[in-house]
Amino acid sequence: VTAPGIADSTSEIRFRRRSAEEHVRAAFPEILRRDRTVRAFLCLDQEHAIAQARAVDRRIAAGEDLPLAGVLVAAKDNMAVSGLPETCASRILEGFHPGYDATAIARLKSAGAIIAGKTNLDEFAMGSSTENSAFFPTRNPWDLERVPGGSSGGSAAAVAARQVPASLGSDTGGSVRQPAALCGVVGYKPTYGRVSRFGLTAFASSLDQIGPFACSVEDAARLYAVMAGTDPRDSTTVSVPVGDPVGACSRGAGGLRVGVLAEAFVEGVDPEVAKNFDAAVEVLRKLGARISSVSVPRSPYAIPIYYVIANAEASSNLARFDGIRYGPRRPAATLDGFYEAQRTAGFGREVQRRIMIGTFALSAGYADAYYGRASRARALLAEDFASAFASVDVIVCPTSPVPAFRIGERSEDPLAMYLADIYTTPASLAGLPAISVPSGFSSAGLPLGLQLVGPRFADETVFAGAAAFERETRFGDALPPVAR
Amino acid sequence: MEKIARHVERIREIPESALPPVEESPATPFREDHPVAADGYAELTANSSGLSHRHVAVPRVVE
Repeated sequence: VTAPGIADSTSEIRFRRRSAEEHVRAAFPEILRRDRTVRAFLCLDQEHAIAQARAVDRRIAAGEDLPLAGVLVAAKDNMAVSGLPETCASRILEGFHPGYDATAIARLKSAGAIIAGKTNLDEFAMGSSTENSAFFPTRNPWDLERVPGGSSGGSAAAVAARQVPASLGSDTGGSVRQPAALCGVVGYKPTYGRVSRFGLTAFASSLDQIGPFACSVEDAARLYAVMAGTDPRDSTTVSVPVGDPVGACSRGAGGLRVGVLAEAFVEGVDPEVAKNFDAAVEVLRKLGARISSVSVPRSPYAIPIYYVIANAEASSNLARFDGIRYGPRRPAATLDGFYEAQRTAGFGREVQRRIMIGTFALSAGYADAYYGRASRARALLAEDFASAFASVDVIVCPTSPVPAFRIGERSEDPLAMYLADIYTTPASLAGLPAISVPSGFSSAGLPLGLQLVGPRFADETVFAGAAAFERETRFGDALPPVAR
Repeated sequence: MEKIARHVERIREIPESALPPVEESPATPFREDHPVAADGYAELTANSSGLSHRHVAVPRVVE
């Protein structure tokens, strides 16, 4: 039994051949069985899902046409879902129930989707392997001894294992695209401002975007089309029309001007990744795309720029977690001691490390040299992209420099972990739309991904190019052992 | 941390002349205070979790 795509999943329910409740009852035993090995979920609540399914059935009976009727969607556990707890994979939030829906969740539910549960992540979305979860690591469905990537590793693994046909992640520096590549599924980061961040626990507010995972580009576009659009509760959302992202998936790649990132082959790139990328470019050429080389000269500085800006914002955003409003309280004699006790016990090592880096980057006497300089360099990087997009429609590069690595292999070397985001942070810093689409497998049978990046608000163009590549290659159709 | 700090130092390799000029953040504008009429007690009680002897009852914290 494998979870079908969204179109298959909804058509039976929309045309009342099967109720949403029957669908949920049939799907849950297999979701639970597969999760015993993959451990994608922090919270699975069948009764909660059945209650949503009954509501969907009532709406269909009343004549509503719901584009996502009965589609089971998993949500990363850093976004608010009414009726479910939220931990951000951190001890500091244990016992917290948000009691409301994030805008992205509310829009999916409004379209008939059913939230199956909350997925594992690196604590507060800080990491690239999901090993920084305070609870347990999620395993890659293609090789259970390897990481699924991160920070949205649970959401990527849940789709790869075909537990659910789609899921949501959040992408700050690559946290949707990198795990999508490592798990062999599609992962999409919209243009910054396309999808509301209301109800998403803030990590780095100028970078965070909610994005979908799915088994196909068209399914990712379906979720994006429902979630995108302006929201009065998030002033950074934009009123630029969303267009027709699902329709864009059938456009093809003929005449598409594709720029191959000249700075793509940096030190540390796995030779198999490089070879796979060359083959992917040849596929695009065969489809009629016009291939050229394009330079984004400051992209090699993206990692240091990102880790100054993201950590500076995180040090400010995470100041609210002081034990007063959220989570369990630990006794202390003084107020300072109280804060220290909560944050020392509540935050994991990586979160503490990033708060320290960010606080230093913002501290008096250093803010201009680090945060100020990184902000100016970020503007320069965005200008580099703008210049590059004068001559191409999309820029392509690998999504990750390496396939999925073994659990524990990089956990003692945070810099090596940061470098896993080398291809994804540039688009994040410039606020650009970017997608990872399966591009093949390594000799060890591990999935690899191709990243396509577009200009701001050219989300449709990114979907068009990725869907054309997917139709030609069909790498995303392969099933990992746990889903066969 | 030392390795991370050394890597972050790479942003200094970008020459100052290439960077856009420093933009001074505008000062936070202060709004004038405007007194408004309000029935304080009614508003407070309407938004409270409960009352005890005409005072807002603060929920007990159980550790």
